[in-house]
Amino acid sequence: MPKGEYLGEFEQLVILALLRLERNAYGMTVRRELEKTAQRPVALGAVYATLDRLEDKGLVASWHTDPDPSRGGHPRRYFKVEPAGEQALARSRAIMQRMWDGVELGELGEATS
Amino acid sequence: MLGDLHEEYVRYAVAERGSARARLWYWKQVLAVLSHYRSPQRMLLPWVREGVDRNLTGFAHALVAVAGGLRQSCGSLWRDRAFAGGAVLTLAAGIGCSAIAFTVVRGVLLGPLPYDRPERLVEVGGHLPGVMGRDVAASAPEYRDYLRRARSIDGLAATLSLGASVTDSGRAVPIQAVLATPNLFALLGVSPALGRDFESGDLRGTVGNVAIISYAAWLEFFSADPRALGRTLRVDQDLITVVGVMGRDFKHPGAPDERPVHLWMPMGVAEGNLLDGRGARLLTLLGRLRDGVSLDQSQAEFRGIARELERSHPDYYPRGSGWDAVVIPLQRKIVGAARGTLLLFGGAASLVLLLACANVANALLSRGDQALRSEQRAPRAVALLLAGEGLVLAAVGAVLALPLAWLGTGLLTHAAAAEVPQLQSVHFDDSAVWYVFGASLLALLACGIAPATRLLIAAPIRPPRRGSATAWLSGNRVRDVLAAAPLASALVLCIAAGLMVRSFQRLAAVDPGFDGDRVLTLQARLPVPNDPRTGRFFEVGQRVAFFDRALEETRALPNVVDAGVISHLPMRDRNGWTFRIVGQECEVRDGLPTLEFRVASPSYFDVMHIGLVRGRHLAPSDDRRSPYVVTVNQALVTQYFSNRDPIGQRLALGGPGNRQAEIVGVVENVRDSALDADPRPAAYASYRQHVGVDMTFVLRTETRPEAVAAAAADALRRVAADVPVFAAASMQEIVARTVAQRRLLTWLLSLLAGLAVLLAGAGVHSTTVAALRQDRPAETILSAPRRAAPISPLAAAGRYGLRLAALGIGIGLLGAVGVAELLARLWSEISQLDPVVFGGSAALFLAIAIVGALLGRAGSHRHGGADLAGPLTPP
Repeated sequence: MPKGEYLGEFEQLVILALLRLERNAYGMTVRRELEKTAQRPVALGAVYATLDRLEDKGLVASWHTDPDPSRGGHPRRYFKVEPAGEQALARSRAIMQRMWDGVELGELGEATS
Repeated sequence: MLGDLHEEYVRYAVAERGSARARLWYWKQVLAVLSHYRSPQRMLLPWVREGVDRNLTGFAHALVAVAGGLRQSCGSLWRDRAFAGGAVLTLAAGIGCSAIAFTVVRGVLLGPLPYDRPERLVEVGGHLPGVMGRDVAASAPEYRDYLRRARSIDGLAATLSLGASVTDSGRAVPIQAVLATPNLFALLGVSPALGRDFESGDLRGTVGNVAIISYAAWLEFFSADPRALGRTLRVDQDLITVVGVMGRDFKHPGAPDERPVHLWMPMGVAEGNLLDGRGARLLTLLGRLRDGVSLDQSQAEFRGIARELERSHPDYYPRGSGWDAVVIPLQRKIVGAARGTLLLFGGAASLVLLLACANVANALLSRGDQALRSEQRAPRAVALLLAGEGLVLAAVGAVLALPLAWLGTGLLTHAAAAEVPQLQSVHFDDSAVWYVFGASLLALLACGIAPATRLLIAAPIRPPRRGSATAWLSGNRVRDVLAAAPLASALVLCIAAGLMVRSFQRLAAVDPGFDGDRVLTLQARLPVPNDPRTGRFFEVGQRVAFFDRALEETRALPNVVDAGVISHLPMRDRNGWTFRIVGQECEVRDGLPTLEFRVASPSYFDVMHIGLVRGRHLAPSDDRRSPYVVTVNQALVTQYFSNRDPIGQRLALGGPGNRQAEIVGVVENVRDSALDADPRPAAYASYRQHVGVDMTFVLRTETRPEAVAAAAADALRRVAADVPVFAAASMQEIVARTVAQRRLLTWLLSLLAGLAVLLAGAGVHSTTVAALRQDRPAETILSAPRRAAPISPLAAAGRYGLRLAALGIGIGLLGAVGVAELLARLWSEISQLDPVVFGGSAALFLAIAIVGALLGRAGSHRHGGADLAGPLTPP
């Protein structure tokens, strides 16, 4: 696999959040989904930086809605995962699974995972 | 992203955290962007947001947005280094050129003269077109009349500039002296740096035997010795006591840089002294406008005085002479004809700046369009990106323009110091730096803000419906006009330069009437003491003996074929005299008859290859013992003898009571003032019958004239050590000086036109690349007539080039007609609608547009062309 096609952990989390949110994936919901499910504090800037990077790689796509008065006149920027993004996610998962094969963790490890 | 923050703040943050902590959270999120988010300019718009503390967040947002936006713009430009490099160089060239022009135009036309309140200083001159021409000097009686009657001025000084020589070192050093009424320095508001100003007791007779010397003369003759005051200089055989030294920066008003004034002596203009005589127009008058008086009011008053003088002295101001007094601001008088040259240069350089801005704006607009359509970026983000790119390009362009302008100003002031007065004192200073700053702001406005605004206004989030107003605005008209504008301005410059070059070619083909090839000229000036009768060249015989020996010595020099001498060299000196044909009634209707009066040796005509038409040349036998004779030129015969035979007729020269001369021959015409001016009627007298003080030797040489100059000067000094010999120059150089300003402007315009052509070609190229890169089929981008079968991209590019060319050439030709009229006003022989220049330039630009477009098509193909197409809306 060429360098750069492997997804980092946060990238995987963001793509997974997009897939979970389906058609309601935009900055705020992605951030809240990550905080809720992954249970870690996330800055919106970090989410957008990752989304932009993924979009540059062609793994996700975004589009703007019309300006929304309830959002101070800002449009929403929705995201969706491209087929290439799903493939990359699958590849990353396969790599991780291959790495996990035959690995046994002790009690402490089981408890924290 | 702002929308997301806003939404979360309103919907959750306040409820979950409470108002104060929510605000803190919001603030933290904003700052976190600095370290996380790489394109935060997306959050900048709009500034108004409800529910959020504007004061708290506004500044942070702006900071984040600007810093991030600039970083993003720099990155984007870095990725497209070829474009960025071209754009920066374009802007640097445009800003640099206009900064050079600004510095020079401001320094020369607006730079303050080194006097007290220089804007109130005026020169009072006169027009006497029917007798002597326009811009004539004043006489001592006129000076006294003005002084008595004029109320609009607060002081009037008279000056008389003349050459002299200092002979203390045993060798005659030529200097430039000014005789001035003692109030000169007080009027200018300056005083000597050392010693004192003139006092009333300094003046005895016409010229006092004291002098204030220039800083340069102090260095040269006294080695900057402070004890120079009270010491003497031998000037034209008189012992003159130095009473003052002017400061280093003082310059006599209007003295050319290459001929600075070395000393000032007090001059009296009382009735009956040597300079008196209403017809003796020798004086330059400098005045200071009284406080509260405008130039127009002063002009009106002097015009009134001129009318009074006309009534009281009809002999001197005859009807038909067109006599008038004129008041001209000193600055304008000093700059003179160079004003037109400088303004044209300034205009041309401004066109280049506009052209550069239009080019870069156009390219940025195309980038914006592409980002919008092909990469599905939000219009606001793209607009900010464009504005950021414009800012970066303008800033880098300005930084590069600074050394360019500094270098260019230095080169220009060095190269053109002789052609443009005051140019030597022009320097690249603070104001030039400010100008560069201002010009780069203009560039930013044109290149960044304008395309960004246009995108924001016109760019829709969804593709526009065909035929809607948005579609029109977001269409290609702005881009086309931006691409055609450089073509038009470049065409204007090209035609202006072409007209100048053509006029030069015509001038080069003009026969001046003499053969100036391999002719050396050298000036010699016989010393005239304050009391001329005590001079050793006062007697005519003494002067003739000097010139006879001098001609003998110079003829004997190796490589010298022949030598002659003349009082007023054609193309350099003028000497208009009135005359009358004896026995013929003179009608003063269109002014008095005038001719150019020259004193020459018979050999002068051989040296200059001026042929005889009829009768005989002046002969060595025409001397003081024989009758006074002259030869005249064909122009005089044509104008005043209606082609009758003039031989044997007599001319009364220089007004009533003067000597009468018999015409013995007719010689060929010589263009005496400029190559583009018709020869004036002229008469030549022999140096043995009418000797001048200032004479110019002309030597025909076998080698380069300059190679003989030193030997010739030595030979003349051997004849008389106290006669200064100076201003050695070849005749060709003297002819070239008459067209120096025109040559300068031709060079400048040609350089700017060359630059403009390059920029315009590059503009067409990049526009076509952009047009073909867009995600629509070529035929709609290029607005070709809609038809069923699509046309090939090559044909479309060609067609696009043609359309741009038609637009640009159309606008450019209109502009060029105006510029041609301006040029023709400065130089009458410029042909306003020269078909070769207009046709040739239009054809050149047609070719540039088409080649640029076709190359652009190749460029777009290389970059992937229309393959970048993609859907604008998500599935």
